[in-house]
Amino acid sequence: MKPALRGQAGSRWGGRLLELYAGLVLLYLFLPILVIVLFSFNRPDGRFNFVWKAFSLAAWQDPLLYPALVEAMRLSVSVAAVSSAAALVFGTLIALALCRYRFRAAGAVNLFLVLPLTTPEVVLGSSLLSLFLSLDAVMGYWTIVLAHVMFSISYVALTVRARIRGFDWTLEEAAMDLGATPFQVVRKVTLPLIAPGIAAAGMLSFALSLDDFIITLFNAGSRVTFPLYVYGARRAAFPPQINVLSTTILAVSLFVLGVIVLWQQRVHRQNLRWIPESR
Amino acid sequence: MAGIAAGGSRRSALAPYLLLAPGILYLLAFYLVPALSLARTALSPETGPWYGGLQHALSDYGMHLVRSFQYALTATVLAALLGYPLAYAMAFRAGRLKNLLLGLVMLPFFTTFLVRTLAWKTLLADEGLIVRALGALHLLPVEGRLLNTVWGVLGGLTYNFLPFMILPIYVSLEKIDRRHLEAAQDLYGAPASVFRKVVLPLSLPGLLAGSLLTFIPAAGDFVNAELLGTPNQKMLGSVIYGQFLTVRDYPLAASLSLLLMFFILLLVLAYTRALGTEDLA
Amino acid sequence: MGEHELSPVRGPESSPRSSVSRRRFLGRSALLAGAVAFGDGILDVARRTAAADGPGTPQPPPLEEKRTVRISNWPLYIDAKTVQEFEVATGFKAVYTEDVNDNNEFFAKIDEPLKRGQSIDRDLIVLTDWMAGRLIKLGYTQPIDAAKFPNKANLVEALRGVGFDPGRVHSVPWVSGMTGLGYNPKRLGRELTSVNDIFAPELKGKVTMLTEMRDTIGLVLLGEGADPAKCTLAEAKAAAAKIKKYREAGHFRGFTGNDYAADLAAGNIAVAFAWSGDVQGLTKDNPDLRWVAPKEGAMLYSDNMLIPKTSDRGDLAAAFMNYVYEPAHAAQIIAAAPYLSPVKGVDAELAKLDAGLAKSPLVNPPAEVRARLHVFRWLEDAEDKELNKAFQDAIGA
Repeated sequence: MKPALRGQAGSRWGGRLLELYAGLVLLYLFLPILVIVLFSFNRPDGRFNFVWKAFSLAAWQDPLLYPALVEAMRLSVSVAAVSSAAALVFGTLIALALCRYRFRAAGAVNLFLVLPLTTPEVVLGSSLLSLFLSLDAVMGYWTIVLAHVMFSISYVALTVRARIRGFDWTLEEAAMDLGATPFQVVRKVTLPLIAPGIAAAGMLSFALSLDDFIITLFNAGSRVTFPLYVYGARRAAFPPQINVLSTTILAVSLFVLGVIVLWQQRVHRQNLRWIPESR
Repeated sequence: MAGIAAGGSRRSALAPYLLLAPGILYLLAFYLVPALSLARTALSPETGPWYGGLQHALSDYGMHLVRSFQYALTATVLAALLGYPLAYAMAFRAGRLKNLLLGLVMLPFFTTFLVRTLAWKTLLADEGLIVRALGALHLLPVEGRLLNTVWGVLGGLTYNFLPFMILPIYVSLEKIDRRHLEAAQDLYGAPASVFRKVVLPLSLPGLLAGSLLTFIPAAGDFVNAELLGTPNQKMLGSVIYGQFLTVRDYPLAASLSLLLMFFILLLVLAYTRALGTEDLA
Repeated sequence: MGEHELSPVRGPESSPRSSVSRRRFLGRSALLAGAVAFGDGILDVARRTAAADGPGTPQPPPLEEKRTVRISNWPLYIDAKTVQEFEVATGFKAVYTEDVNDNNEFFAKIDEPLKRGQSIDRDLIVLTDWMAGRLIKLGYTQPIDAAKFPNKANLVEALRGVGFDPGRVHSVPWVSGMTGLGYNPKRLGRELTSVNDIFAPELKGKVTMLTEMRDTIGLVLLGEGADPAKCTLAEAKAAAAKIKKYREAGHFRGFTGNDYAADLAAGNIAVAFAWSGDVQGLTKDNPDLRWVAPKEGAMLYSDNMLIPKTSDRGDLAAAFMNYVYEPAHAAQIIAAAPYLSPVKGVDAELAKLDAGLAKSPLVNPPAEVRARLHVFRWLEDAEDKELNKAFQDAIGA
């Protein structure tokens, strides 16, 4: 970092103070996460893992002890996989349309995409419920999936759009000039270019689906996803296995995130290398 | 940007619409149609005039609406006060740690919202460390506790939506051309004036986007108020949930939902007219 | 043209090997994602014990699914072994879910589908007397097959003839319970005897009441010296008004279903309107907790097993009822959830399991406590609606 920039943050003392403040804010962000991880190693005497008793690996050794909890997690993972796959297809196509073409409705589409993001979840959930009720629909697995696809599409479209904006699409033209069929072009050129963006969007929509509580609450019928299980568990029994599964989700997400970031940096570097005038 | 112009003559003018069709049709079917269905439920009560539900909603639960907006606004201001300096430090002082810090700020996204909020219950427990420490320092609010008070609710709301504040601010600060800053420093000298005259105005779009992205989920939230508050802190989301799923007064519930959406839509439209949709993405 | 020539992700100097390994990695992670999503991976271990009608199987269920009985009950209402032992003894599977937290809330979930004749994915549900009565009246339940339920003969005489289900055709009690005060004498520094202690100024912000209207209004009425079995609507509404006054002043931490339990154990609540057996179960979390029937009286209720009319597994539900009406099995449940058992002969079996508990006033209230137990009077629909409105307003719902 250039000395000039360091100077602009103020005096040495001001800078230290800023760093201290930022550190405290980070601490605020982590505190509950620390509690979640720490309490996965707790050994509660009774039903509720809300008060620290003693260090134990018991919950980690038997993370699948409670069938209903495992079932809820399985439902959540299944819903997240199916809904983010569908949202990826819909969202990526929208992003491609927005990035690669100029067309009259683009502004309206942009606004329409932002709307679901700026609608409170309780409104999204209740309006879907209101639709399902008027259709006499049976609430369950598919109503959850339908709802999750709905709120994921915009996130996917906007994430993919942000990642692929500025890529060099003339490669496709070049490939066509070299005699590739449109199918070949998509498979060999387009997909590899946008893949990291899709992966990031996929991870985001997967995480959003896994975490969603409010919208699911309205549309789950008698099915119980992981967040719904947690909501009920605070009344009945809150075993440390909930913390074990939460910690696992956290660790897996961080790993996948790391892989995607590295991959993205590589694809980006390589794409730029193809454009001689870009640097 | 070379890519955007690449459409060219080879592709038909229909192509973008074909790409858009599946996703947009889906959103029409499961976002717009439900919203209209909600509006119809709200505006066609079994008896009385079409606005009966709205009237009922405002007279019985106007207080909850006002409270939701008050809490959301407070949480947004708090999040900005906490988030801006952190984003600033990340953008200008983190050096090589930048990406790591960015990952850390996103960490809460990867733990379940509910589990996180319940962790706050543990942290803020009456016999927990934080309350005991504050008690020893005589810093507790009049209630003598944090859990199930307005402070608990505001703390939870601020916490849960803080990353939505930090990330857009960080992005906008990151975009500022470093040469601008050097020039500004030569021009104004004092760091405070550089910040006021250059950095703050340039990061304003991020701050506004962050504020909107914090305010909206906070205004519609009920989990924090339910878990960290008492009935006296109940927010509109709770009422909507209860009316839809327990009392099942659908016209009233739909009216409440519609009112919440209406006020937030006003905010969003005002925002997008001023700044466009770019920074929200 | 070879495939690598066209691949733009590969820079001029990157080796083919890296792109192959990347592809293989992707393939593997996709596989992994699929495996995790559909339970073919590590989670398969759990599937053996979990419900057979899991997610990701939208196709018509295999025959095996027919043999699973799906039960909804209140939390803290059963021991850890009974469900498994039922499975072993009968060869059926059982999915036991503790998802009943409030009669109204649960009713709201099942009312629409049952009205339309749709499945609620449950074969046995447990609801309190008045709600059981409402369901039976609405025709939402099916009669219990007496041939599959010979142990019905073990039902105690006192609970055989109830107004909402003469002859117990559609319902049998799971257990009966008392609603009184749950508290922590160590934290309070004293014992509690009166319902009205919950209104003590020094307990401001440290108490909860129940969202179950009949329990909460009933106890407050007792504190006012009225009898919930005979009260007028005006008296009941006055009780609601008293609650509202205190709620607005910030006296209550909340109005709860079973969720008072965790807060009572963690010490966030000092006194709660609580169900008798819950508190005993909570002493593992916090050994200092205690439950008492206030001197003015406590509320008595039963929670009843019902079979939803849309269940196609009524025979399995009856088999479960039959199983838990075996005195030895009932005793095992009572040992974990010390409520009043409706099963004859349970005392002798309980004495074998836990001699101390068999004598506990929670399981066998002495005559002087029994004399103080009250049942909330039957409310006609219109009265119920009016009082419920006042009550919901009082608790700020």
